Amino acid sequence: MRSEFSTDFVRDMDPVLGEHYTQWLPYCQESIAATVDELAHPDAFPGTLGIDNGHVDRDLLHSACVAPFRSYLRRSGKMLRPYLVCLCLEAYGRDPRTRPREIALAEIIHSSSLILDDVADDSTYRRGDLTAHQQVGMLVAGAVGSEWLNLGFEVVWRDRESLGSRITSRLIEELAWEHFVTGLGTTVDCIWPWQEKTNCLPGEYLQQVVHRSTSYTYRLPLKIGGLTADVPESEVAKLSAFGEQVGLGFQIVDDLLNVKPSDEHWGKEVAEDITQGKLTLQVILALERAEGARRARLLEILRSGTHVRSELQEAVGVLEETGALEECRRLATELRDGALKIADDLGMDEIYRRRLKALACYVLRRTR
Amino acid sequence: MSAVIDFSELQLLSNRAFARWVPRVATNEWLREVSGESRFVWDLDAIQAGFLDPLYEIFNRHPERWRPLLAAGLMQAADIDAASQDAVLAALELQFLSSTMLTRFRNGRTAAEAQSAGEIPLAVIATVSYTARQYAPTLVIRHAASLSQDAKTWLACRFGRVTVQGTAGAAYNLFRWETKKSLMDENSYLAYLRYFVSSASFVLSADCAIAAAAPISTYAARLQDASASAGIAYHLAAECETWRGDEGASLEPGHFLMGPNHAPDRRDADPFDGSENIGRWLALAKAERDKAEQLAEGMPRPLQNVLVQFLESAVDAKLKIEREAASAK
Repeated sequence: MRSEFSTDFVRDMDPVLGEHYTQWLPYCQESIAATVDELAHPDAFPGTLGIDNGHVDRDLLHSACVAPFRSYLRRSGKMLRPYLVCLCLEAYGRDPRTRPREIALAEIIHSSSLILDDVADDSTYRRGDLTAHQQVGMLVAGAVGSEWLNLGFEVVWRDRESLGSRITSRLIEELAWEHFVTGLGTTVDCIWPWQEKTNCLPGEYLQQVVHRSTSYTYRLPLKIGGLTADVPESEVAKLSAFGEQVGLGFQIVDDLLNVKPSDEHWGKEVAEDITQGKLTLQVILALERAEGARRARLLEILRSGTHVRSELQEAVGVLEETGALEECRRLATELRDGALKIADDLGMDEIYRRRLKALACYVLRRTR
Repeated sequence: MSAVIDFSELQLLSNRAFARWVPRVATNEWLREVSGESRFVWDLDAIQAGFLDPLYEIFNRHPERWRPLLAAGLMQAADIDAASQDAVLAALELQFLSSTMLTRFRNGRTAAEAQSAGEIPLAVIATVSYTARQYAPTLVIRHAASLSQDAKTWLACRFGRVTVQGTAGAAYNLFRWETKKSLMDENSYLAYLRYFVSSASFVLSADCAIAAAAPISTYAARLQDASASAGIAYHLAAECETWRGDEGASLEPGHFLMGPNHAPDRRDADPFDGSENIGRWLALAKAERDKAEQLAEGMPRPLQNVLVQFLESAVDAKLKIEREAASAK
């Protein structure tokens, strides 16, 4: 199952985005390393937690609370989120090099949320390696994910003097709200398979996506960038709307790739969503459209928890035959077009608008 | 500052505050208020079954409301109308409830290994716990209308800090058990309760009062220390009670001197096997309780009264029952 991650995906990006991303990637990596070290170096970590050094086994504390998180950072994700913070800062006339913590914040939150997603989904692999809970257990991994997610407040708090009271407050507010609504979205996502619900509406799926994956993928990093750059609230709202549009499209494409990966570097089990009985948009549409034995068979496979390749392929076949996959591709294109329209209205130089538009296009046609 | 605090009234107030922000029935109005205008359609049944029902089950199982009650009492002592801080009081209870939810699960490598038969799935309960926990700072920073912007920001960050401490502590204790199979010594365990076990710590209650009532901030450090000691005393007494009660009961927050709940030889290492052990445990609780009272003595009389009244209601009553039970045994 293990696969090596590479930066080949940059070739899939429009050069106006790819070159800028490549330019900022080293600084993103540097910012993340410095910020995580500042928080979690063995000498610093007890202080970060506000505890007395004397009664804690520091090595053990590090192994339990830091190592699983660092293992996710080491898996070299694309680091698109910290890059988006850099892009916003630069686009609104701020030097990203003055804001390493806010840049790192986007990746810290993203990696934490991946640990929590993996626990919720009981996934075996992430980016080609064993998930955190496979290494340290469900409860430890879940605790570590929540711990790092909430260390985001500390990251912002440490910059309160240079950010100023208003921006600090707005950043904390957006972090808190996004974390909360992600819980509401995830509630719907995980209750459906448990209750074996089959009559979900497409709009109900899209609503939980708005409040789940959309947050960490694009909406929150863009808000962090806009707020840190101190742009007017109306501009933050546009960035948020753009991020939400791209995030929705991202999830739909992610669902499509889950059942039909078009790249050997996919890094997850194929059709894992079917094994987990997830009611994604394509499944909901297929259940609406399929009739009789075909519908019953799709439900049977979804409820079986199967890993058998032929059965998974059979389910994917139903998604294809009913036109559900095609409908999802069409919706993803619509979402992309909506994002491009929002980007046109952003108050930044044309070159940055082009980069954001290229991002929307890249996300919607990605293969991994 | 007021001198007399009616705790039963504050308990009712805490219940009302919780119900104001966590309705028993999911509605679009509530979701609009706390999560914004919906772009598509909420599955209200899913929010009901996957969040509100399990949350209220835990809420009903823990009727004391000690955390919001302490915060409300301290606010009243500083002439702040605690009813005006309903979002903050609800946030305190959410934070506490979220810390009690995962005690029945094991640290398995898969959901199946973590699950006990017949339980609601780990993913569902973990999500309830997560959502409740993250709702708390959102309530503070978005809905605590009578707090200043700076106070809301500070308090929301304090909620974040307590979550970090609680989750880091859970990871630390579970990992310690799995890798070392060793017990904490007494001092380490007390430090663990003070710094890591968010449900044992009532410091957040003090923080809420500090954020709401400017005059209290003069005594912030002392009040936080007193609240921490009160929390430790309460936790130790509560552990005695749980251990004495249901054999299979989980111990808040699922981790204990001997290791986590599922540690195989935990029953064999029962520290309450004899009156000597339980006596030591209760003495530790009493020492922390007295420390809290001593710290309270340096504060203005109304604050002192609230703290002492709280110690008597929350801690002393429990210690008395446990002492009698230990003697009988």
